[in-house]
Amino acid sequence: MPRKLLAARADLVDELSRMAKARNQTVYGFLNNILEQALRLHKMDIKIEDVANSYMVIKNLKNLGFIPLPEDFAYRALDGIIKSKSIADSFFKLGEWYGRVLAAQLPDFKPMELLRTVISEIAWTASEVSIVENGGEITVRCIGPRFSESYTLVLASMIEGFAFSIGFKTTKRYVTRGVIFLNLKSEINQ
Amino acid sequence: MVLPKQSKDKKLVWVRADILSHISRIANREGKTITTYVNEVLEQSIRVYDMKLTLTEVIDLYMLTRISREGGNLTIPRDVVKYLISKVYNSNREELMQIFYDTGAWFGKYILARIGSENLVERLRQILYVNIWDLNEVYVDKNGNTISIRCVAPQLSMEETELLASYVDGMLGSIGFKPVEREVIRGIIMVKVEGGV
Repeated sequence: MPRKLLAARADLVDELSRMAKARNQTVYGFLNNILEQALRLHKMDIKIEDVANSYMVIKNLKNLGFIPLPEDFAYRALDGIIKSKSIADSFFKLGEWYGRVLAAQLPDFKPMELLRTVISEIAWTASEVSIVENGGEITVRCIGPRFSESYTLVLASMIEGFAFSIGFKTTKRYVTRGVIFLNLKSEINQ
Repeated sequence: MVLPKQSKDKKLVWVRADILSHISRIANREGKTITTYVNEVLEQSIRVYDMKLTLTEVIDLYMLTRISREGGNLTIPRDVVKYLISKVYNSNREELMQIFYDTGAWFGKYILARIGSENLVERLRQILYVNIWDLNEVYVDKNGNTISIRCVAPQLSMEETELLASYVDGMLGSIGFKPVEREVIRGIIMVKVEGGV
């Protein structure tokens, strides 16, 4: 198989060599495998960074007690539970707790990046998730035509709790079945 | 083989020519140099290897998670299921068990349709890890025609474990495995099956 030379950052090549050695592999074989995987992702229009971020957040969410449940079943279960404001409050507190724990577990993530990844991972059935930061304000827009009313409420409360854990307080809120629109302001800048 | 340093910050490494040619095209399309593109890939890969995983494993798990979600799985806090169990498990245990069995059976067929039957036994561990709750460990061993599966999640209650076992039964049954042995105790599911597609 013909080979060619490739230039890469020295510290990364050093780390790569160390890892290859620890696995009894050649740097050549190890690097080819990594690049082949990157090409595999590229063919699917997925960024390697998104895969790594997603994996880290999912793994930690799983450790914190998030579970996969069939969508219809989850909506029916939530419809049976969400009857009072106090339940929404407890999901706010849950979101705040998740935010604090995940921030401690994933210190390499910037708070906004963590918020964005967590919302995308939890609200993956949403047809649209947009999180825009401007100065000390964040606008969260999450549209999920399939969301049930109770799920929308729970999700909004968890997002608000999560944002609160990284220093953002809700200033404007519009939540109705399938639509979450939140304006959050940094408490630090107030 | 790593060649000596070529500049202060870079090193040259050998790579397969066909791979480099693909990388070059992608980098060009993204308006990056090959070195920048490769550096980004290496940074993320090192992050993954630091988690004691391989890039292949992480990508496989990511893809299975995507498939699972596209199959209708929602990620929600376990407290919701606990609450549901506290409300309906005692009065409607059989119905709830049947719902979990049927859901697992549907999911098994769905997975088969999405990923095919090739290497199914080898991928079973990942499928179970991604799709069932709070699993700390999943073991899948093949011995002749018999496959032993052990799922360990000590934090689950007996009720949760039974529901989950029902889901696993449905899933395994729908992909053609026949039960040989089955033991379910709080937090642990152990099954032996034979066959498969």
